Parts: sequence; structure tokens; C-alpha cells
Amino acid sequence: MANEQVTQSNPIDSKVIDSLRELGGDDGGELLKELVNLFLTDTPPRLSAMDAAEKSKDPKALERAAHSLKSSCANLGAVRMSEICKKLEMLAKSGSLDGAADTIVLSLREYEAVKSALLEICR
Amino acid sequence: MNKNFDELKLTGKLPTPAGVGMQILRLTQTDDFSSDDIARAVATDPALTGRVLKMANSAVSASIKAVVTVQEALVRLGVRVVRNVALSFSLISAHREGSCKSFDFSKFWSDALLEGVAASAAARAFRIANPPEAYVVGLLRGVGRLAFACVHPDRYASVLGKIDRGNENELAAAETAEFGISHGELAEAMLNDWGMPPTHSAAVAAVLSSDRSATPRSEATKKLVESLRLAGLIARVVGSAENPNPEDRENLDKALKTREIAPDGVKQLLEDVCAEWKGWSETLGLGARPSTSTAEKPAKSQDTGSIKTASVANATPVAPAAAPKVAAEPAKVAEAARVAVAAPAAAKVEAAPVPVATSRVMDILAVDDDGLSLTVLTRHLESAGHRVWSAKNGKDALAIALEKNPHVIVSDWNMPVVGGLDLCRSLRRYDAGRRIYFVLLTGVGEEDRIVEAFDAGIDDYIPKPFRPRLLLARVRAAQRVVELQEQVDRDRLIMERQVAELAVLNRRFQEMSHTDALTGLANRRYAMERLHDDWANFQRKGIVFSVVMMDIDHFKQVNDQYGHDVGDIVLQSTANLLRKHCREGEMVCRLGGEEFLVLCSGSTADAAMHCAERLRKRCAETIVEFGSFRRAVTISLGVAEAQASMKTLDELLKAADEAVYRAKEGGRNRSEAALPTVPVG
Repeated sequence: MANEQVTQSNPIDSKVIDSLRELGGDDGGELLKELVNLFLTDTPPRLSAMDAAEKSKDPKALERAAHSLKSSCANLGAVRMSEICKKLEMLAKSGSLDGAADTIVLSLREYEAVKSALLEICR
Repeated sequence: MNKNFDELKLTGKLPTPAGVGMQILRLTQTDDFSSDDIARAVATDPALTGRVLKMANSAVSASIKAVVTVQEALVRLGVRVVRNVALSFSLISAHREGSCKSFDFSKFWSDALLEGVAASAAARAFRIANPPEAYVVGLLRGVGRLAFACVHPDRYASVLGKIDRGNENELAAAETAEFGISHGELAEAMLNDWGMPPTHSAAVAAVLSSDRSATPRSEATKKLVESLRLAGLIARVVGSAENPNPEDRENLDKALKTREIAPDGVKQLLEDVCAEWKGWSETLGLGARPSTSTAEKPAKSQDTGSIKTASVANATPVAPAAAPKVAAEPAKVAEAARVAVAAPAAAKVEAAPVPVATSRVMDILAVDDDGLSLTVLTRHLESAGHRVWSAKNGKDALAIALEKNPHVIVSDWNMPVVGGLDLCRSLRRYDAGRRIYFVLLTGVGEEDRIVEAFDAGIDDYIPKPFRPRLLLARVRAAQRVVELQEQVDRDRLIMERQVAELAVLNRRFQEMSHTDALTGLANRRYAMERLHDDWANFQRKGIVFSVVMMDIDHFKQVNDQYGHDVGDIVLQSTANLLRKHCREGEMVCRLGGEEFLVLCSGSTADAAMHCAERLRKRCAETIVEFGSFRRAVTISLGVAEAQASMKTLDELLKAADEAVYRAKEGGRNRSEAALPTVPVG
């Protein structure tokens, strides 16, 4: 899909970033910075929660962590990462953890890409 | 007094406790309510629960373990006290604003709080009365003034404009002149109406009564009055801390002379009252006036202007950052107190960005457990000009919703502890919560459960991630519904007022009605009006007229022997006969009892005598039948014509009456003419 082609090149959808800048009004950069900071603070604990949930075979906990992270990612335009979280959430919701470990590794890698892209944007 | 109170009550605008308060009121008016019932009712309102607990904890010394449940508070304070406290607070929540121009509603409650806190402190310090009871009485002593401002905003504004501020006697006199009741008497009636203990209402009435010698009846009332009088003096000192009047302090010291109190005890007492006043003002979200300690400089007091929408739980009142600006206006330093009180209202207007032309500012509560999503959601709503609160879970959201009463809630579905659906279900249990427009944010995979969400009471949903334009469009839709609801409310209010007015009119119409209910004949009122008309015409234009007065014979016996039912039948059938056999220009009325009158306009005594004889004969030859009663009902009649020699209408009626008397004396069932009549010509 066209959507995927865009996300393959860039982990962040620039249209979302633009709209957030616009939403911030005069100090649009400030709001964006605030949101990025929130994201960078909130995400690592959620990633480790997902990892811990997988290790302790707790689909409920995985579902919860993936769900929250999915929203955050979507709000910042981290479309691919949001998709990965959604996949994890759905998987956990079905009660299965098959392949969850691999997907979590994928999400960790994607987070690094998202993080550097966001820091670039805020510079 | 009660008549005037009833009329005010009929308007439907008298202040009454809202929501849970009303529920508690109803509960305690039954005989067999339990403390569990009360606890449950209080617990449904988180804000109220907090206040009751605060009250329970401030009523006991600090060394005792803190009260943390409503049940404990009930044990410690007693059911009655908790009930009264709950009522008072729900009253405040419901009446923060009003339309009476000369009446400052915020200042009213701020002053009332101070009186309550001071009364409670005085009761505790001198062991006069039960502190929480003193608190309630102090808080509500001025509620009559609030009532006038609510029911008759304009008329009360003009009353207030006419008198000197602070002159109680003058105010009471002006109120009585305008409304037939003073605010003290009204407060007493209202407290009684809410089922408050008679000691409370009597105390409020006594302390506001100008007649100091009127001794309250019960010992309990006396003690409350004592607390209130001391509280008044304390409140004067504390309330004017930034602009102290030495006289106030002297009066207080004089009153405390006979009490056992250490030299710096008074200072301590004043500081305690001040601190507690400030604390309660914040709890209740009332802009406390300069809540300086008595020792503090006035300059420091002005920053209390920033007490705005007090936050409950984790409420984040994002919008009203503009409040301090208002208080900081340099020109108004002297008026700092008033400005500080006005700040919350001003913040409402100033905080939000200028709204788009067609949409108005709505109060919206945004709920999401994810901080980032919540921030984005909040910003989108604010960008459209709305006033937004935010909460990170359903539990906090419920508390804020009940406290702030937003128009709309936009909430995430999936949240820890209390999720979106549970929040919605809880809200729909309250009167206030039922009206809130609830928009649910739904995630992927939740769409197929959307029916469940609607069953839980949501009004609309938006799939996540939401498009900002869609979100705002939905909020505009919510606005339409909210406005419709408000229109319905306004209409209902108008209807209620019209019903009240109609009731009053009906009563008046009944009085003014011209018909006698039993017989359907014209009644005495109408007869007198017509007689006056004819009398006037006779005097001015010489148009003659006569009256035939009559009495049913032995009517008392009928009543005694057959009962009033048969008596009524006799009256009705006689009335029907009279009506049937009267001719044009002859009008028959029932004067009352078994007494009737025919007004013969334009008739001389001679013509009237013909009328009298006609009626007498018809009655005498008609058998009235009802049950065991079976006979003719005869009448005795007296005829009189208006005479130039008569000075008043009364003389004419007396002459006719006297003729009836002679007809009875002469053996009944006959007609007699009045004696001094002109010779028939």
C-alpha cells in the first residue's frame, strides 16, 4: 500500500508533525518538544513492560502495554511503530504469545529509528 | 409569615440543595432511614465525600486517628450532623452564581463560610455548642438573603440599593416592606422546610432578630445563638484583616472578657479561623477573599486572587491561567478583596482563546491514560476555543465531572482501574451526570463492541487515531444537543413559573368568582356589586329599583332532621325554582345560607311584590323529593323599593330584611312589603 511505502523510508509521518506544529500555534515548536519529551520518557518503560510480559507469559499485561504505546505512536506520526504495537496488541488479545518475542525485538529496533528521527525534527 | 414563605416557594426558585443533597434530604424525611443509607448517598458524590471527611477530621483533635470513610465520619459526627453538612455543601454547589445585580454571590458564600468557620471555632474554643452544628448554622444564617436574590433578583437589588450596608434592622424592615417577610424569618422557614432541627432554625431567627430581648426557648438554641454572636464578632475582625477597624477588635475583646482564654489565645483563635476559612474556600472552589493571617501584610494577600477553579484529585485545569492578571490590575489594589472574589468568573471568560464565530465555549473533560494522547486531545479541543479539564483515569474523571459539570466528556475506552464504559455508567447514575454528552474514543478492534458502549450510555464515538476535524465536528454536534437540552431546561423553568403563577391566579379567580358553587346562582359578592350599581343609578338618575329578600322556611329543621345532604338538595331545588320563575330584569342571587335575594332593576315595590308572590306560589306548590324527604319547601319574602329618603343602600336592605321578619312572624309562606314605602299609585 502507498502508506507502507512512505513509512519504509521515514519512521515518522511528516504530515502529522506539521499538524502538531500548527496545533501549537505561535509556540508550535514548544508543544512538539513537549510531546516528544513525553514520548521519550513514557516509551522505554512500556517497551520493557512488553518484554517482561512476554517473558512471564502474561498476555494481558502485554496487551495493555502495547495498547498504550500504540496510541502514543499514532499521535506522533510513528506509523510503522504504531502498526507493530497494534500487531502485538491483537496477538496478546487472542491469548497467544506466538511470535511475540520477534515482534518485540522489531519494536525495539523501530523505536531507535523513531527516536533519532524525532530528535532530528526537534533540533 | 408562612403565607409569604409559601408564595416564595411557589415560584420554584428558592435555593434548594442539589443532587445528592436533595436525595439525603428526602431520605432523612422518612422515619426509618439508617446511617448506612446516608453513607451510601454521600459516597456517590466524591466531592461531597471529601468535604464530609474534612469536616469529621477538623471536628476532632489532631491526636486522634484520621477519619477516612464516610461510615467513620457518621460515627464520629453523628448522622444528623453529616446530613446537615451534606445539605449545606450541596446548597453551595448549586448556587454560586445568580442574576441579582447588587448581590455578590461569591462574596456571599465566602462570608457565609467565614461565619461558619468562626461559629465552629467559637463553639469549640469555649465549649459552647457542638462545633459542626455551629458550623452549619453559621453557614446558613444568611440564606434568606440568597433566597431573595434568587427569587426576585431585580426587586431585591433595589431593596439593597436603598439601605446602608451592614444595617441589619434597616434591611429587615425594607425586606418586610417589599416581600412581607425578612431574610431572617425566611431563613427560619427554609431551614424548617428542609427538615433541619428546630434548634437550628430558631437560632438563625434569633440571631437575626432585632429584638435582642427575645429569649430563645431551648438551651441548645441559646448555645447556638451564643456561638453565632461570637462568630459575628470574630468574622468582622478576620474578614477585615487587610483594613482593620480597631473597634471590631475592641468589641470582640469585650465579648471575650468573661471567657477563659489566654492573652495570646485570641490571636491564636483568629489565626486558626483565618487558616480554616482559607482551607475551606479552596476545598469548595470559592475564591476566598484576602485570606491573610491576621499578622500578614495586606500586600501579600492579593495573590489569593489566583485561587480559581480549585482542582480535585488530579484535575488539571488547563485553561484558566488568566486569573492572576485580573487581580494584578494596579488601579484596583484598594478593591483587591472584591476583585479576588470576582476572579473565578473572570477567568472563565478570559482563559479561552477567542472562539470561532458560530461556536461557543464549552466545558469539556478529556480523559486518557496515555499522557501524550491526552495532551494532543486537550490541545485540539482548546484550539477550538473550549475550556478543557483533563484526567488520566476514569476515577479522577468521575470526581472532576461531578465537581465541574462539563458539557461534554471525551474519553478513551481502555484505561486501567476505571475504563471509559464504567465511567459512563457511573455518570449516568447521577442527575448531573445524565446530562453530560459522552463521546467515547474507540481503538481498533473495539468497533464490534460499540453496541455495548451505547448500552452503557454513550452519545457518540470517534475511532482512534482521530482526525482533528472529525473530533471538532463531533463536538459541534454535541453543542447542538447541549443547547437543545438547555432550551428544554429553560422552557421547563418558565413552565414551572407559569404553573406557580397560575395557581396564584386560580386562587384569586375563585375568590373573585361570581358564582355560588352549590346552587350555581350569582353569589353575594356579585349581588352586592349589582346592588351598588343600581343604587348609584337610582341616586344619580332616579331609576327605580326594588329588592325581594327571602328565606327558606324552617330550613334549620331540615338540616337537623335530614342532615346536610338533604339541606343542600333543598337549597339547590329552591334555587332552580327561583331561577326558572324569574323574569327579565329580575336577577336572583344566593346571599348565603338559606337566604336569597332578587334584584328587580327598574321595578317599583308593586311590580316587585308580583314577582315575590309568583316565586312564593311556585315554591309552595312544588314538592321536593329526596330519600325520606318529601314535601314543598316554602319561603318567606320581604319587598322593599329604593326611596329618596334612604341615605344608604344598607337602609334599603334593612327594610327588606325587616319585611322578611314580619312575613315569618305572620306565619311564613307569605310576602310582606317594607313599611315606609310610598303609597301604591
